[in-house]
This record gives sequence, C-alpha cells and structure tokens, in this order.
Amino acid sequence: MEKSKLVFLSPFLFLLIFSILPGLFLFVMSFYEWSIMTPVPEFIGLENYLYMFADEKFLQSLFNSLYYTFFMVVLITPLSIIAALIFFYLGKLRNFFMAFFFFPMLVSLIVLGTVWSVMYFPFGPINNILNMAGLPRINFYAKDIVKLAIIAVYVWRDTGYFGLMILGGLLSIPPSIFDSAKIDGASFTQTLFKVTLPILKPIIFLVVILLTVGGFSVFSIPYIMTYGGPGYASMPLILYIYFSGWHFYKMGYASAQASILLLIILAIYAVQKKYLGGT
Amino acid sequence: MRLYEALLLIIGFLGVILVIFPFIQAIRVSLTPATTSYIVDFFAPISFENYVHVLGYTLFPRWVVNTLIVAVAVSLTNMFFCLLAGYVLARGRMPFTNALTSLTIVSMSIPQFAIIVPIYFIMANLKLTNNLFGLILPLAVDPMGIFIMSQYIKTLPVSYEEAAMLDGYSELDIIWKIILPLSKPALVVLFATEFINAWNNFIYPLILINNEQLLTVTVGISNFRFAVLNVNWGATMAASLISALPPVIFLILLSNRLIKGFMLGGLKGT
Repeated sequence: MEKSKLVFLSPFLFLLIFSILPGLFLFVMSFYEWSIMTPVPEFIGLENYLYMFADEKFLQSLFNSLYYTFFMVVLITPLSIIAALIFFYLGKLRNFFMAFFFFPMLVSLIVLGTVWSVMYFPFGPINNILNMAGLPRINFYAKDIVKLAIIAVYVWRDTGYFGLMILGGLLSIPPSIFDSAKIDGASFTQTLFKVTLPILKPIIFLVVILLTVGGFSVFSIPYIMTYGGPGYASMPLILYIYFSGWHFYKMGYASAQASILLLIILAIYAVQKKYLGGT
Repeated sequence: MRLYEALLLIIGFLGVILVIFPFIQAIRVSLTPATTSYIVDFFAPISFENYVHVLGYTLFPRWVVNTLIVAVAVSLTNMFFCLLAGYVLARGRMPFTNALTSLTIVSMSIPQFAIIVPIYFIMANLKLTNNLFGLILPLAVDPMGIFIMSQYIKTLPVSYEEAAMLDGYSELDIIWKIILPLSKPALVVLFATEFINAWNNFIYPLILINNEQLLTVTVGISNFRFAVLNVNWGATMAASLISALPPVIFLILLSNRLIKGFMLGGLKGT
C-alpha cells in the first residue's frame, strides 16, 4: 500500500522539480553572478536589480513587451468577439471553417515566423499588391513599424482561437434569452450590447487575461523574423533574457530579469483568480 | 434571412483565404529553385530541388528523428503520469489532495520561458545538456494534462470503483482495469496535444542543445534561417512546411476532438 502511494505521488514530484523549485530557485539566482564560464556563483546582493533599471536595453525590451501586450489585447479581443458572432450565426456551417481557423494554432511559431517572413519580403505578396495598387513598397522591418508587423502575425494566428473560445460562451447562453429579447422588440445591436456582451463578460475577461500573458510571452516570432532588431526595436523581454544569459554569459542578470517577468505573470493570474475564481 | 446567411458564408470564406494565403506563398517559395531569394514569383518554374536538398543533403532528417523521439516519449510519459495524477485529484482519496491540487495549479502558472536559467542549471548539473533525455524530462509531466485528465475522470461514475474496492482491488488495479479503459478518448487527445506541444517546443532545445546532431526541427529551421552566408529561403520553407505536417495529420485524424482538447488546455507556444 505504501509503495503504491509513492507511485501516485511521482507525477507531482516532476512538477516540484521542473516547475515549482526552479520558480523559487530563480529568485535565489538573481542575487548571484554566475555564467557558463565561471561555474562557481558569486553572491552580489541586489546588484543585478540595480543594474537592470539602469540598463537601457532592458528598459527598451520591457517597453517592447508592454507594447506587444497592449496592442494584442486591444486588437485581438474585439476581433475575436466579431469572429465568435460570425461563427455563432453560421450555425452548423461553422464546423467546416473551424479546422481552418484552428490550424495556425497547432503549428510552431517558428514555422509561422518563417512563413510570414515570405509575406514581408521586399518582393513578396504584400509588397507586390501595394506595388500593383501604385503604392510604394514597405520595409516591414523598419524601426517604426517592426513591432506592428510582428503583432500582425499574432493577430492573424490568435483571432480564430479566441473566437472559438468566446463561441463556447455564446453557445452556452440559453436560446430563450435571445427569444425574449426579440419578443421585446430589441434590435440586433441592442441585444448585442445589452444582453449578449454582458453575459459574455467573464469569458471576455478571461480572453483579456490570456492575451496579456500572451503579450509578455512574445518570443519566437521576433526571434525568427528580426532577432530583436533593428537594434533593439523589436526585442521582447524573453529574448533579452536569453541574450543576457546565453550570449553575454550573465546568468544571474538573466535570472533577475526573469524574476521580474515571473512576478508580472503571477500578478496577472492573481488578478484573474480574484475576479473569476478557480482556474 | 437568406441574404445575411450568404454574406456570413462569404466572410467565412474570406477568413479561410486569409488564413491559408501565407501558407500558399510559402509553398510557392519552397517549390522555387534557390537562386530567387526575397522574391515570390508565381511564374517561376516549379522544382522540388529544395525538398531534395533538405531531406538528402542536410541534417534535417536527423532533426526530425530527434524530435519524433522526444515528442513520442513526452506524449507517453504524460499519458501515464497525468492519468495517475488526474485520478488522485479527481477522487480525492489520498491524504493532502488539496495541497496536490494547489501544486498543480501553481505549476500551471509558471511558464517555461521564465525558468530557463534554473532549468539549464539543473540539466547542466545532471549532465543532461546536449542529451535528448534532457529535453524529455522537463516536459514529461504537463500540469495542464493533469488538470484535463482530472476533469475527465470526474465525469466517470464512481460506482465501478466502489464495487472493485469491495472485491479487494488495489487503487493501482482500479486505475489499470477500470479508469484506463474508460479514459481512452481523453488519453488519445492528450497524446495528440502533448505530441504537438513537444514537437513545437523551441525554448528548451534552444538553451539545452548546442550539438548540431541533437537539435530538434524548430531550432534546426532557425539555423537554416540564420545561415551565415545567404539564407536559402527555398530550403527554409521546405523544412518549415515539412514540420507543419504532424499538426495537420492530427487535425485530420481527430478534428473537433483535438480542437476541444486545445480549447481546454490553453496555449503553449510563445
């Protein structure tokens, strides 16, 4: 009996070793200077944190991550509500479309990044269409628009997914509610803003939370498309953490940045738990 | 009534075109001989030389095998451990079940990218960097998989288990003989989702592997992309499209069941 209990505990041991303890260990490491070159860590107190807030590259990366998060929430939330309404009114026909909209979600972001590099070629499809319309060709990796070019890929990928998530909420609304709104003579827009959206509030809130976490998780698309460039213009926080640890050999500094990132993520989930409860 | 339905259908089809348009461009580039970089030319001659190059003259087939090993191993360990843990959380007969539930929820909210330094530290100390086993271990138990399995097992009737207990079955027998057969549909979806998650994983192979022979497809593709001399876009596209095949296969085989699984499980890729 005792032996079988240990078997039952084994999966949780994995979570402890490869998730919880690394999460705690991260904070400890952020007080040390440690690199692949110097294997013995040296305690330096708060120095990594002090350095961080004087490091323009870090501040730029933090700003970029906030920028990604803001525009992903602001663009994808309304678009996915619209997508959900279209799915909803398509009725049974939606089953045909669902697999197509879901497909990009299953493909590695690295692959989506190479695929979208082609879209943004100087002589690629978007520029060719602009050219045919008599407009000048665009350099999508120019400093001012590179972040928006990256956000466009996430909008393209995520709208269908979150649309399906909100559709789940729409389908769980009893049809009698819509019927009584119709009997009361409510127009489509009145029903939408006075009935449907208020009922969907919790699920839309969840979408906003997931997109906020998603915005701070932006990494693969800038990695493969721009490598954070030009300069640091598209560098997200995670990529700078990776560069700090694996290119500049400052593992302690990378840990300090990752601690900040982890605290942000945990704070977002705490907000979710406070307003939605449960998981 | 008919008019608005037709309109919605047209919007739906436009959406589908928007989703597949980039892939069509990528397919065209992959079928264009390598000399025409940074140009998508639909009138260029069609050639399979990029696929021949990628599959015959690069390490790509090796990376596919590595990734398959990791993805299959990760799927199998998750099926085993998530079934066990899901049962523990669903039935609550073990002491400290609440603590174990909290542990699972907390690990769900710690993302992989935030703990890359400690994971590297652990693997370096276990001498598991540059080792496929080191890629499997941190992905072996997905807390989201535990959560999904426990939600599923909660929907199964308890009466079989109670009868089996009266007959003197141990808890492990109950899992093996009763829960496992009833959980097959959920386990199939779990296999597919974990396979896709492991197949697409980028950050762990990026930090844990620097031996070219042991790379996985995602990091391999980024090596094509960041080739020191000229980027061979044709080859990069051929490799990218080949590695998009497993998700396509799972989507065709499982369609709506896979979609439902991913809706429950949430996003993994960053």
